Amino acid sequence: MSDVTPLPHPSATVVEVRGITRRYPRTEHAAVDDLDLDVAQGEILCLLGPSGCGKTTLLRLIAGFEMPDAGRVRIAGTIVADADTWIEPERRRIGFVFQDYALFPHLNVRQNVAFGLRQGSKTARLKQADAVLDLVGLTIFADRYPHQLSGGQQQRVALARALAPAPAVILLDEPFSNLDAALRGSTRDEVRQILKRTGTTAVLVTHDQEEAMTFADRLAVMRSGRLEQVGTPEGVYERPATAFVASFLGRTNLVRGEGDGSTARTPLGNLALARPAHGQVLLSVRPEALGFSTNGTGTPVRVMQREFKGHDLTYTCQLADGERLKVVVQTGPGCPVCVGDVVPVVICGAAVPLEASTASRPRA
Amino acid sequence: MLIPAIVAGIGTLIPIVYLVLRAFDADLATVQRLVLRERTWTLMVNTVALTAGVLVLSTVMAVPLAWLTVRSDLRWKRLITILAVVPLAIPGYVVAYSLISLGGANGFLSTLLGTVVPRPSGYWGAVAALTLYTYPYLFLNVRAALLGLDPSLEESARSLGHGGRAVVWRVILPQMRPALLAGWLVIALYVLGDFGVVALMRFEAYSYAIYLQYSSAFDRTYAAWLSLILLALTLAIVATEGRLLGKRKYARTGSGSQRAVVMTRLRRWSPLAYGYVALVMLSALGLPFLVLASWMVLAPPSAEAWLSVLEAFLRTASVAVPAAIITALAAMPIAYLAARVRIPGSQLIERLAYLGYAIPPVSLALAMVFFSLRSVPWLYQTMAILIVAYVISFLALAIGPIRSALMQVPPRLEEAARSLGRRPFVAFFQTTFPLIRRPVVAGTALVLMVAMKELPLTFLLAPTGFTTLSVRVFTRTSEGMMAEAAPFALAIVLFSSLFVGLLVSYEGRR
Repeated sequence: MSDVTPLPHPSATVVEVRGITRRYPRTEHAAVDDLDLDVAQGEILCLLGPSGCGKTTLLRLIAGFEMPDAGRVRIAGTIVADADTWIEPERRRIGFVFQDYALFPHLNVRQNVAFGLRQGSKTARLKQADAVLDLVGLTIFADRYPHQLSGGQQQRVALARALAPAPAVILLDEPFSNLDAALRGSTRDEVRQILKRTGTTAVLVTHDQEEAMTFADRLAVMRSGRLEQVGTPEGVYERPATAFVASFLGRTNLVRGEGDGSTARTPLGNLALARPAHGQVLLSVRPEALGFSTNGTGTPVRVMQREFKGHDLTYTCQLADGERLKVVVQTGPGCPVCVGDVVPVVICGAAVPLEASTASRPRA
Repeated sequence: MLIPAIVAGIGTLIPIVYLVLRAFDADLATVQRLVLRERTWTLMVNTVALTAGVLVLSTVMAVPLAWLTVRSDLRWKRLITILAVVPLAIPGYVVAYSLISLGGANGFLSTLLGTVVPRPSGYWGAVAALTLYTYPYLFLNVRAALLGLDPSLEESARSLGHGGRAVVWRVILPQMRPALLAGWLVIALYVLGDFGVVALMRFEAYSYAIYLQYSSAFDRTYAAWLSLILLALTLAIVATEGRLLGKRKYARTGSGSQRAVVMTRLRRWSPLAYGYVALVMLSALGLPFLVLASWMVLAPPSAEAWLSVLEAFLRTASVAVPAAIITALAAMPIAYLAARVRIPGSQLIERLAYLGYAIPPVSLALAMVFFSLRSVPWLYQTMAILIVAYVISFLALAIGPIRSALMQVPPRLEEAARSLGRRPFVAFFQTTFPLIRRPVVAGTALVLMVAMKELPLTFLLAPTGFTTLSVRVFTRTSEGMMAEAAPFALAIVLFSSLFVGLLVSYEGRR
């Protein structure tokens, strides 16, 4: 199915959000607070954050199911919401995949997919729906009704229905959360392939960091209605901007230190810094960036707990000199260190200096 | 959606406003002299006594029947349940007609046996007729509650050392409370609103007195005052029920599925149980059907009589059908508002619709008379005003099923349709409406059936000479022409029973 060619201008911005704010009545904080976001043509952006951080509200603001209190949304060059403009969701050229799929129970799969097609004769539209069903590999289920399908199949019908009218952007609200773990991984891969094959621009909301990292071209980590950090999955993981991002995206050690440019003095010794920092600084050191040294150099720690996970080993340790700092170290599965051992730990890589969280900054 | 809902909701209030205006037409001294006389008090005592009598008697009828069909090893329980509900299809004035038919010089028993048995009338006649046609409401409520009882609660009580009687008082009855209250409320509303039975039994309860005052005396201010007092009594009963019910929760709190109930073995009590069931069935169902069938044999109606029945039937349908359709159209936006839209006031509009249902029909009819005479005189005594009264009175019947169906349809469906390019109204009709079509049809049918057998609104508001089936039964019976009333009553009973059957099977499908 490579005949669906991606649209030109790969760098064009499809979704542009500026200063958007949504406040629910009788709540202290805004659900979405003065937020900016850009999504480029053909890009898959994942909005990642804990529950209640406002990610679904942001998605519904883009879709037009919620009205912003302030700010502007532009989709494919057209302003769809600002102080003077309000374009209804049905005129926004969006596709939406709901958490519970929201398939029409009174229509069969083909009719569901054809629902959003408005041009051409009825037979032409059903034919077009069949083409999209072929794309998601559900041709043989075209005459079934939603309740006769498995969760993963319903998921793909919902995707096909949203894709069929060729929307400017497709918005997915926790689309994999209703699938069981075994099915989730494979469905995710399929959906990603389909989106890439069709060159579709997509915004996906999730609270699952693993899902966000495998699915996204770009990751936007959200907290308390604001964006904490936006970047590629690798970039955000390796260089988290704040303590929140560092600990939400995988495990990390948060270590206080005194920066003097390219290094910092810490309880774990002098650490190289990923970017220059001066004075009091909070550092993120990933467990896999730490290791036990065999030549005696490094800071001695006492092993408190050992978790064997098959492909690796995670040790929870405490500084041996009595300072109460917990250190998590990840090693290969064959590491001989046991609980109760005192061993020196060394860093292989750089520590990342963190900024204060945007959520704790004063609000406008 | 909003505007039609508001219009329909406010519409309920207008006639009441006019009733109040009419009541305060007279100067205060006149009002005092009118209202504070002994007769008002006597009517109050009569009405309350009638309500109490019907509640006691219907409880005695419904509760054992419900227990037998849910918890005992009685046979043919399904059949008995269906037969116990069928009296819902028989209007009160037909039950009263059957009872009256039994006695008197021209009565059925004297024709059959040759001896004159006195006609049932007055308090006991009214209590009997009202009980026989309202007890199914209590039966259905109690039955549903008994089905929902968790047997493990009773077993827990027994394991904690309580005997059979203590279990009934301390575990079963408290859990039956909401069902009993709900059933009693419906029955009380029927008794207060009833006109046909009390008028035929010539028992001076409020609604009959209002009618007498309105039709024979020229003092309509007193009629307006009596209507307001009746309305106040009705609302007081609704409020009392709400207060007694409180905010307690009666649902199971734990998880885990409910075990099947062990049926109580009747053993040597079973003849008594069968006898009881037979007695209830015979009086509630057998009586009207036997009386009507006997009249058909004893005094077969002529072809001409059947023709006039058909004529009356078509005339009845000519107002009932438009009323049912308009009611459904008005109910949809109100139900949508109540189920979906979270704005202040959306619940209030629904409450107003329920108020319309609770207004005693005689009060409503009088209010419509005052309203039309004062504001829209060209509508007085037209079919239009009758249809408006039907809509106000029956709106709640259509809202109920539509609202509960709407609650089950996820709002996401409409959002999905809108993300696929549909305008809000189109989105509703293409996604939500197909899923609530059945309840809408069922609600419309229910209103149609109720409107077909409606008596007081029709009797007081219909254009002169516009005699429906119910009006025919009523006037013939009050003139003592029992045989002549029979074919009209039979037409109503057959139509209603047929409709109830259709409705049940329509709801049961899928």
